[in-house]
Amino acid sequence: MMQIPLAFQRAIGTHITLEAVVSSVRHTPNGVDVVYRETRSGEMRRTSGDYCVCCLPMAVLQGTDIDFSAEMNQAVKESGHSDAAKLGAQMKRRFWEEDEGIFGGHLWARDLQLGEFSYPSYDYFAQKGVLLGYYGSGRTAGLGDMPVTGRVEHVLTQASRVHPQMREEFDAAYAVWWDKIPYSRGAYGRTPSDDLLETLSMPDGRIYIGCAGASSRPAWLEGAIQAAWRTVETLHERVMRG
Amino acid sequence: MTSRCWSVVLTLVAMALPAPRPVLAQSAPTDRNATTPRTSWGAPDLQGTWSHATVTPLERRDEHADRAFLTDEEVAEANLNAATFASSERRSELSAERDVGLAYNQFWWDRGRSDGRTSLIVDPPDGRMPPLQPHAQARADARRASAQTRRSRVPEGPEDRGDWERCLTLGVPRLGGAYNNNFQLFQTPEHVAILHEMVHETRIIPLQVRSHLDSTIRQWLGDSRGRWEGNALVVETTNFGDKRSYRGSSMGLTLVERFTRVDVDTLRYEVTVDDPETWTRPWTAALDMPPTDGQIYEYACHERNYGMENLLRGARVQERAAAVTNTAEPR
Repeated sequence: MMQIPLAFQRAIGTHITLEAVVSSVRHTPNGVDVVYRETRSGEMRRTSGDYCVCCLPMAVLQGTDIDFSAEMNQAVKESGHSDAAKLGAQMKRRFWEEDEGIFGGHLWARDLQLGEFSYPSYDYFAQKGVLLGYYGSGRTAGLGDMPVTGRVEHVLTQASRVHPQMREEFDAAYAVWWDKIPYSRGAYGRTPSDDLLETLSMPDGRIYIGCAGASSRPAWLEGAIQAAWRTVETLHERVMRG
Repeated sequence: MTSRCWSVVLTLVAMALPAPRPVLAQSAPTDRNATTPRTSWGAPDLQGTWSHATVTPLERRDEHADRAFLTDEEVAEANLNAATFASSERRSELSAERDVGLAYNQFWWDRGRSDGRTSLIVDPPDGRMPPLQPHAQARADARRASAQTRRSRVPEGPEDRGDWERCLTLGVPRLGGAYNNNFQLFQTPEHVAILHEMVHETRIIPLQVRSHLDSTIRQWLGDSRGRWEGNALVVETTNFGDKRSYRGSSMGLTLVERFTRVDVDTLRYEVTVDDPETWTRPWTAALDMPPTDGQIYEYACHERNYGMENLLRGARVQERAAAVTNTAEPR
């Protein structure tokens, strides 16, 4: 997945400014100004262009100072995002395979607060294995506000009801709640309604929204490509028209 | 060549082919392959790609009630029908709806051949499933009514479509089928893996873990445990869930499958279906399976994963069309 942006970076690398936090986007009489903060130096800088294609995730866009029209502001505000969280739990041994003969698949239980719990469908018979211990709302049982150790404890407690070996075999974990990731602020955008998508797809003055959230498949790379393709076509047509 | 000529040629070809030997009617392997192939660690070698395609019906039909085998003429007719039922010559005889329902031309269908028997069921001796328990009959009636309701309405979501259509599973056991009837069997000293072509499902069967999962854990394909009994691989499967049923079975279903390499070119498959909640007694079906050439390819269930989405989008279009029609009708 990452190879696509890396390939773009190889092609246009000299035009990319990394480690820059966008502070505001403003229309000027003949273009657009973007003010950003360099994270290393803390300095504020400004860059200008004829147009701005804004690919910030929709949840980040909602908190950024951009002089959209009232209609576009409302559309951006109405765009939702998933509050999903995930936890990967590495186990010292693949007890679900060795002891129980379970190979891949998911665990669903109505009375377990685990969202989706999955067994790895790769590396069968390897020594260690990483279970998808939790995939669901970060707000379940207050998980999002817990430290990682608390989330791990929640998963071990819940999953131990099915697999008593969980606690003894636990090795390490990684947990993420995208709502708390500064430059994501959400796992992925919610699929917009047709009307909302129509508004988000239109240029707002000289600003275009090119992120996956402004597509019919916000959760997928396909959505980012769909939005990018549409933006490039629309902008190209406008520029060529003169 | 006219279609009539083709029909004549096909009939002659089918008549000229010898009827398959009803291996299951014999009690012992043939002399030329008396020794079961062995793996390097000494286990019976069942590995390879095999086909469970057959047009022998699971249950004996009423017209064959008094006999276990078809006549040579009946076998030839069954094989001819299986080989030509979707050919262009015969499709021209069908209604447009039935023609579309066939979906594929003859090339894509893989229904196998008759092995000469009148049923796959070998026990009970009448070749038919035993009667249902009274409550199982009521359950089957309710399920049938529910399915009919579901079929008659426009699907609201994927839950209104079948497990197979949703690319979830085709379940077990597999006996016969319309196409993609191949499976590949792999062995290690500790495990047997069966990769089914249809739905691309793999059963990984431990040979050394003896106890089944806790009864609270239920799986689409159940929980399988294997063991060797002489030259037969015996696989016992329990822990089925309530979301899928095999011919009306309950969660109490136990399958006991036996895989035996009868000779180099035959893998005998026997399955005993035991579910006291459903049937008045266990029943057993058996099939001799031939090896197939070539490898198993990926089963792309829904082209580009858009099948279900497009299906439901079509349902919404149907709803809108129905609403317009209803509005337009004079009162």
